Amino acid sequence: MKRALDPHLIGLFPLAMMSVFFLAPLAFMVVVSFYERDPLGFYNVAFVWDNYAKFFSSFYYTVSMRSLWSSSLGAIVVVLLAFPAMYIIVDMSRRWQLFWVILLLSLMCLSEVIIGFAWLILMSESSGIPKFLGWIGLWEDPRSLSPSFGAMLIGFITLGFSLVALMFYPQMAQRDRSIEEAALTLGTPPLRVFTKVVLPNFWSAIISSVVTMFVYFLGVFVMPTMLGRPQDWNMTVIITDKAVGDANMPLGAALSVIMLVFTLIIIGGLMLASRKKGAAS
Amino acid sequence: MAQLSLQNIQKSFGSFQALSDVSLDIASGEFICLLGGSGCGKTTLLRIIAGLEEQTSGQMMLDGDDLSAVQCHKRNVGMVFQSLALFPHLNVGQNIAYGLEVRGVDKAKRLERARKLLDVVGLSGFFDRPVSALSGGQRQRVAIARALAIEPTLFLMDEPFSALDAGLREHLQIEVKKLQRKLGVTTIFVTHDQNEAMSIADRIVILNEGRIEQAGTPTEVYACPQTRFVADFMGTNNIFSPEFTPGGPALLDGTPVGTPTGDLKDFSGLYTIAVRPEYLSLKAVTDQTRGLVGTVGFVRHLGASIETELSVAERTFVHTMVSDRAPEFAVGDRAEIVCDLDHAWVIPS
Amino acid sequence: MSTLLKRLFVTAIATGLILPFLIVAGVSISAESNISFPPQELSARWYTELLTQRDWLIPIRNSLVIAAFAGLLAVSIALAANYVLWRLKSGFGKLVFALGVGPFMLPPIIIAMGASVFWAEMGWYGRAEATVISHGVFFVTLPLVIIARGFAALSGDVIEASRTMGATPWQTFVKVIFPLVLPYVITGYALVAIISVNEYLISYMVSGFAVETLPIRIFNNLRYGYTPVVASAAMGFALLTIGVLLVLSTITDLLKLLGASRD
Repeated sequence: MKRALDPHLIGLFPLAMMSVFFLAPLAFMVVVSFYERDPLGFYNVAFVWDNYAKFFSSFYYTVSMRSLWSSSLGAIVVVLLAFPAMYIIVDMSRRWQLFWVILLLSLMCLSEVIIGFAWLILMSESSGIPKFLGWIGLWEDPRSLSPSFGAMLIGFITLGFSLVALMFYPQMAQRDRSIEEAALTLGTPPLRVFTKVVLPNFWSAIISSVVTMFVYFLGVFVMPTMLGRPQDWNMTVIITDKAVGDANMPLGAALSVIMLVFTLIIIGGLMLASRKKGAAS
Repeated sequence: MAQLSLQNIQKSFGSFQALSDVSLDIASGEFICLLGGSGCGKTTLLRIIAGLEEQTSGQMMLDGDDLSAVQCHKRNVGMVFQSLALFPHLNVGQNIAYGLEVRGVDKAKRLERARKLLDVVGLSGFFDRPVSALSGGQRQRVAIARALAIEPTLFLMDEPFSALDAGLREHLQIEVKKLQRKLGVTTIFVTHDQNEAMSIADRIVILNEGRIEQAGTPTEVYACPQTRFVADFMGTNNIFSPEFTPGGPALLDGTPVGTPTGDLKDFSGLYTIAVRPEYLSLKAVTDQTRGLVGTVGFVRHLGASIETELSVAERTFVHTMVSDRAPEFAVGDRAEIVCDLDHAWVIPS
Repeated sequence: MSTLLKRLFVTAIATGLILPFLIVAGVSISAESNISFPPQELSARWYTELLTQRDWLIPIRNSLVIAAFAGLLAVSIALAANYVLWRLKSGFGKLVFALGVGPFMLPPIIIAMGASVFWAEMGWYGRAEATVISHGVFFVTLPLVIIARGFAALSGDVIEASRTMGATPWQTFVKVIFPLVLPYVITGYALVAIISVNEYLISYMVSGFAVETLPIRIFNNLRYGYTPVVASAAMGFALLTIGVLLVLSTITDLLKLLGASRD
């Protein structure tokens, strides 16, 4: 008998698509990272370590360090805001929850370019907060708040907030609230219930969302260019600049490979840690 | 000492009236069951006593002091939740010692007490186990031990055994009852299962649509239901409203159902009565039969007794007899139903 | 007291998330030709310009076409992968599923860079088709997890019931499985389409110099001196996104879809 919907056969379609258009480009990127730059085209086939050698210079060291700093700071702040916010939001009425979900989904979908632009306007001296502060007399000489590190960080947070919040949402909404009530009846003061019971139970979710956000912010391009100063630009801006601006694809590829390896190590470490913890308990 | 007195407790959620006018006095050391179907307000009442909800109006006094003014975490109530709510990030011993830890009891003391309570609930040696490694019945015991570890003034349980299978449930009911006797702690137990309530409680409080229908010992609520709802809820009863004439037979839709010779002899007019199945008798139908005739719809053996269900027009009657004889009637047979009205209970209207 | 603090906290966050867009909305209806707020005089001229000038209309068309096809691609991959996982439960099914979750785990720049060199090598660098395929493959994660919810809600009994009544596997798929997961498929499609319309980095690195999409147009416009027409484009975007989500919320239970329900 012929089986009309053989799952293996159907599985070949997603498998092929993901292999050819997701894995193969990443693999090919590794290959290109050893090529030479061709000033007239994309690249020449070669096997050189030059592109990687360039990474070990003080310029890239500085860029790496500030990428790590802005990403980790952004990741921690966004989770610090999103976690308590979702803790409160999931207990709101259905209508408010729907309002939040639509707001968050909208922000998740909305272009970095648009979010960046909106903040750019809000922080400009001609129309935003500085103008308002000048108008009510709190700031005598209002100037634009962007570009600056703070503006870039706010951009990061607006960008990441919706993602983290939506990641926390199901777990938070489905949590057994009687655990918190049990803590109360056993004598925990209401303000300490959060730290004694809620936080410990969500600890692994919090850690993994900080890591996810960290990795995400590493690869953000628009916010640093729009809201940050050149001295705030992260590795992503540099990669894009090299690959598209200078048409040096091999160098861009090499820098991306370094970032890829770094990311894989972090994700691998996280998975290993959670497995170890799972085995221990 | 823990004498709890509730006066005119009301609770509404928006336009929904969850509890109306609930007044109840609970003696020190008493074991009370709040019994009722889903949505009757029994859990809400328990949560108000625990301090997890606030009543809309009404007074709550514990040993003469206003309990409403005390915040939940200061009430010193030991509560067992329906979901048990054990802390997943703590092991068995830490769970039980938790209440003492937040009270600032020093480590050696609280661990010693946790071990002692584990012994009491029969789980010695489980101290270091993670909660996730326990079976349903073991978790139950941990939850009970955790609630008792703080030496609660009130011991509250919200349908704690509903997720367990019948055998284990019965076993734990007996254990809890014994434990409660030993400790003498005032206990309030919420359940929807009348058998559970009957077997465990000193006093049963039956709730319906946010009101107390009846409060009394298991025997009282079973034998002398005060309302139609209680009679229905407490188990199989034949409830109907015949017309009484002094000295003559009581008539149901003009048909005699039996003649009272005792307390009901001088009754006159319509009364709603409950007649337990064992006080019905069935007779073969003959030409002389002028009484209530029903058709047998169902016959089943219940071990010690045989239950026969008969229908008379829209009504259903249930008859039981001791199963030392073979059933006299089979499905489809017609039989005359005679009620022993001297054992009927008149439901106050 | 503490409920007041909680409300204050979430209100502050909501304000931070919404306020920028209110300002943009204000700017977009201002009559002045340099960006300023509050508007002195109201006018719809920037919206008219957005919808009549060729250098805005072409990016709009590009974006919409790319989004429509990318959504189709992503959803078909996600549907197939979920079907396989659901039928096989383990091994092969899990591998296919894990591959679909992959793109979400990596920083966007790596994916964009990989796509860029790949399409350069394939000779499709600068073509809209390349952007469609890359978007379709990289945004597969979202429909993948959403459709997975649909399959999770599908009990095995239903399928067995259909089989015992004599349906072939294909008939079972068309008449039972597909209708039950359809709301999830629609939601997945809509989300990929919106994200694709909004995406900047991949579009830019794969075909940005030849196929200008709306985000690229806005970004370029911002770099080289901007007019309030950008604000009207941004508002158009935001309204389109919210509009689609509002429509979605009426045809599916969004809260349940995102995993809020406890049953």
